[in-house]
Amino acid sequence: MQNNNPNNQHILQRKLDELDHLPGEEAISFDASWQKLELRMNPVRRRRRNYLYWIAAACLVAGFLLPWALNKQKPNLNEVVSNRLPITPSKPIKSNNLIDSNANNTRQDAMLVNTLKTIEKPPFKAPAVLEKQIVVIPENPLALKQSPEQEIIPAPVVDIPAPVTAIVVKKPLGVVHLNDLNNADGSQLEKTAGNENKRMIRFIKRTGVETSLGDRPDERTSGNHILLKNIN
Amino acid sequence: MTTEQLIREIKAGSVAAQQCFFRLYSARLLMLCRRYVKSREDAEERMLDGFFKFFKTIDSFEFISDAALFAWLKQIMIHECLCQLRKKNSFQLVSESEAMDITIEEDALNNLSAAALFSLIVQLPVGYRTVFNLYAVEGLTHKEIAGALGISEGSSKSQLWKARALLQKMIHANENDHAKQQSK
Repeated sequence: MQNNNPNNQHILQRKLDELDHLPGEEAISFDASWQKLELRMNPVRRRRRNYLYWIAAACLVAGFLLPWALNKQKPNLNEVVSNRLPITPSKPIKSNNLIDSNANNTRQDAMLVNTLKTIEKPPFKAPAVLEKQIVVIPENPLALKQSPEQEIIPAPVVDIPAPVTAIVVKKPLGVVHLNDLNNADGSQLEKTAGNENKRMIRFIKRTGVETSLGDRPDERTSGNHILLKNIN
Repeated sequence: MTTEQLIREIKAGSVAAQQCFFRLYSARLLMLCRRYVKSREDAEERMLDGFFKFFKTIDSFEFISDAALFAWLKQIMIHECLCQLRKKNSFQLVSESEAMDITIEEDALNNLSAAALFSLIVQLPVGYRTVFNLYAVEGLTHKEIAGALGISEGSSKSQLWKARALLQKMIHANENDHAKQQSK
């Protein structure tokens, strides 16, 4: 640092450095200035506060979004039903139709019934107000008059779900004609009832009933008739 | 408590010591800033910025003497003020040829009181005032001033001559007014 006239410079500097306020002017307010400075010097605290606010905001958002995300992950029951079975809402499915359907569709129908059972609503519970209304019984039934309160209260609409009848799939029975019993096709029937036939023959022999099986065709048929009765 | 102990406590993180230090130096440093930045509010802002930087970098400061401490504080404050002035681009540039025509009476300033000198300096335009403060009061060379303000050395010289001439005129005007009042 150089100057042409260092003495003058030092005099001026000393004069001005010692000056702390102008005469007739308000002095600096230390407290107000210190508060401003303190605010600048502690930005860390403010940042921490901001950080906490951000955390709180993130928690709130997460609190709202998590249940939604979890529900989205679970498969919706209605969607599953609609995906599995193409059910049009305009045509309600009746259980009678299911029973009368073909044997090929029985498996699919059984699945439908299962899904319908799962959708079934919980049993209806009568509200407390309704129970109170039912309990009131007039002493003299002849002098029964509807009170205005009873007239005002409308009858509750009970939403009872339609009962879903379980399908009992009967095994189809083969129709066998009486005359076909002796044929080769009816051998299965004879096999299943073979033991019982033998027992029946033994029983007839013991009781002494004369049977001429194999002599006359009409008697043969009668013997067969006995067998058939026994099977059924 | 001495200034050295105060600095030690500030280094240790004592807020009370910081506050005490601020009370000790803020008034004088505010007047310093006002010599560079005319507005009192701006000057206060620059002073607060300077204190903030000082407290922030106090670990690297080693106490030698009170004068050295005040010089260090002054450097910080002046740097803050010059940054502000550079941002506003408020330096008036005068060509060297114009500056050479001005005659100066240096001793006239030394006879003034501190408050009168301060009020005269504050009345100068920004460019004159800055160069005058840096050269005549702080003792910087024209080269240093040119580097600090981003101007040429010639511009710094011309600014200084202009400032001095203007101050001289103002001093004469004040003397004439004072003489007229006394004669009345």
